[in-house]
Amino acid sequence: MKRIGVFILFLSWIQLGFGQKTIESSVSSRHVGANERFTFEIVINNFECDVMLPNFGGLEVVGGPYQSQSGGSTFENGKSTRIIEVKWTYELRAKEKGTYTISGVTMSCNGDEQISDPIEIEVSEASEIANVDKDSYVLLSTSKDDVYLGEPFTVTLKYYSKAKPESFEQLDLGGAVGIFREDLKPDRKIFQTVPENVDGVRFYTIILREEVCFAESSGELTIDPYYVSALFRRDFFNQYRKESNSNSLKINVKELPRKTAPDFKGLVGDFQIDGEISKNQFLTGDVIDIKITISGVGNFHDLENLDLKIPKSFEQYEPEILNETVITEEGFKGKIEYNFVVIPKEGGNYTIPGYTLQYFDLKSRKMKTAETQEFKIHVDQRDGVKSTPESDPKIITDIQYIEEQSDGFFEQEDFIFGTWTYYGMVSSPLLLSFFFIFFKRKKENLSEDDLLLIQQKKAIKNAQEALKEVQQHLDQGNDAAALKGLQSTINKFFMQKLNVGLSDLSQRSIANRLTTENVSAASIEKFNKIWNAIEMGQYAPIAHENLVQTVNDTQGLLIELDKTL
Amino acid sequence: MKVLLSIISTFIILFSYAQDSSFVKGNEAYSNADYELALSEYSKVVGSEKMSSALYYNLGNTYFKLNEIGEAIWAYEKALKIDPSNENAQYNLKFVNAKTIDGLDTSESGIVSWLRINLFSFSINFWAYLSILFALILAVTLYFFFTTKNQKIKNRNLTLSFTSLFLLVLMIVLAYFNKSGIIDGDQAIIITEFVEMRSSPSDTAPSGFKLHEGTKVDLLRSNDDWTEIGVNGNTGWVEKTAIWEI
Repeated sequence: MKRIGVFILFLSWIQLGFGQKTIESSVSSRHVGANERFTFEIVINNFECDVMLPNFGGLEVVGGPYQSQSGGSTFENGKSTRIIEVKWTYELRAKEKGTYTISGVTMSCNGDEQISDPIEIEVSEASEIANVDKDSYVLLSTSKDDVYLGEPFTVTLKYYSKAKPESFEQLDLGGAVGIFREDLKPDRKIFQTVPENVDGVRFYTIILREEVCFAESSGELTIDPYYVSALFRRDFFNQYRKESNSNSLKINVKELPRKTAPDFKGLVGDFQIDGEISKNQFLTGDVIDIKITISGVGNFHDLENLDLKIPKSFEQYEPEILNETVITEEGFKGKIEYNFVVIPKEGGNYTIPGYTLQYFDLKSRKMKTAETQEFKIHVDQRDGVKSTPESDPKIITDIQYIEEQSDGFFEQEDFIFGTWTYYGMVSSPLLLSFFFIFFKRKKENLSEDDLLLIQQKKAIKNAQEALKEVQQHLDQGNDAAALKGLQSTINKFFMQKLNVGLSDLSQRSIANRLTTENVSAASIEKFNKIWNAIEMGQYAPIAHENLVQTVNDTQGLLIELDKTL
Repeated sequence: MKVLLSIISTFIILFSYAQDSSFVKGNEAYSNADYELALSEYSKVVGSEKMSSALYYNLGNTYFKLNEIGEAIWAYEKALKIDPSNENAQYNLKFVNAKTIDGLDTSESGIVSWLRINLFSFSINFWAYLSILFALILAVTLYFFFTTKNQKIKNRNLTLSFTSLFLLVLMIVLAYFNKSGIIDGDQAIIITEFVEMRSSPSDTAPSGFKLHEGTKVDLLRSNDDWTEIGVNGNTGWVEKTAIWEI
């Protein structure tokens, strides 16, 4: 908030009558003790003017500015005046005894400037009243005031009060340059009130905060006073606040004898280190797990990443770090695991040197060294993997060579998927299959009439086939066989065409059927003539020429009848 | 399974391809370290709309030798689209990606990568031919199922029909993905040194952040000169000239 140098106020205001623009500054007390908080107020009665932040003359701003405003009207001599008051409040304190001056506050209104009076503050030593005589006080105490760099010590903030405080409103930590602080009980929710006698006076005491501190620079370090604001209850309806500042603490921090430990990286406490490797025999490309565990107690937060010396030909990844430490009064306690994953790329025997940890041992007040054993690893070349010796780094650091042969070039049109040819090739077997299934099903489901119709249609075809054989017999001069074949052909033709059995087949019955089927009389006569010729031929030899004629007549007749029947 | 599929693949290759003369000339130029000439020869083959994994792989190597990192990554990505099992292309892509400003490793891993390598490394029409084969088997088994009266044969053919129908559909799906995987460009590589991702397709539109050469991006939509791209959940417009589709 200090950065706010100028307040520019453009809010509108209403002045119904005569009103003067004024600025005033004031403090809650002009005589305060060191570290005691007091308030500084700036009040103006308008919104139109710019106000310049004053110079606090070395006083520390610990709170604010908090802005508030109020308004009201006055009625005087028949004129109504609307008054608006804007107030900024700062919380200030001085760390040391002395005289401090808060400069006047400048208000600029359209070129006119008004300056409030400067205020002088007398700061005396921190309250010299004995604690026992106060109603309440806060005590900051330390477990050690002479420590080594990195050595943990505890700082406790304890509240003493003759009346039992109802609650605590605010706790501000004092500055502590060069000190790393860690709350010992960050999750504390219950603050226990314990009665305690101080020089025969009974106080309620409450431990508000316990923290573990580690000095990070040498010399005399100061922990500035902590500020506590507590609420007390006077009666059922009334509450009051008490603000207190604790004492400050001076800690003397000693340097460590670093010269004897060149690899020392600031660890102070008591530490152990342990190293593990998953196994000692590997193939190239295998994953090697190396685990380094640092356990103990001390300033673990200063532990940096471990720099394990891994052979160059190993592929190395960032270690996975598992922190299992907790804060205790002695510092951080527990262990931190570093899991390294490395992959050997070349065969051979390797040694990963042990990791050395140097720390300052607080018990013996001496530098100590803890180290892991070294790891000896044997790596065999994996079968089928070409060795790439380290002496030829070009192979490792360059791309693979081009391919001399190509499996095959293709163009977009070479894809058969999605083409009409493809769809045809996929669908045609299925369509054919369904066609055949349909055809077969239909054939199986034919009625007797249908079958008869097919038989009748086939009759002429069968007869013509048979007549060809008859013709062959004739050509060979085998008249008897030809006659027999001719008779059989005629019989079969009529059996199929007229759907009658062989026993029902006679010249008369056939002739009658032909008549009823409206066959021409010439054809019926032709039929009778042929039939008679065949019958005659069975009893008496028939001349070859006559037989040839009969066969030709039969052929003609059957074609004629096929058209009619 | 892969061996079996490879055998089938070998049997059903119906087309044979001759080595392209420009490809051979390009290889010769590359081996003589004449990378400009190699690029010109390989580009002739690409210009004739011919493709092959080896062609793009060699082109990638040539671009890399000419210090064109973005183009090299584009070519390796193309090679891997055609043959995801091309180990040399995988290696070189990883190598070249590590040289980009962002040092991105875009190589896929996990089940998707495994499937891509094992399913789409055959000849381009492998799955299409297999689907035709299963259509034939399905036709035959269906015919026997509907026409036979022997219950035992009927049951056997029903099982075979369902199996071959399932396989037919599967082969069609694989054939579709194989083709679209090679033909359709839904990703691109930044080939200019850097490019500003803008909130709308205009030079004056506010820019979100810079992408560097070699970055792989998803293509979302485009208008005349601009393309909307997506990378790591961010979207923005870049000029078309700054990217090459893979």
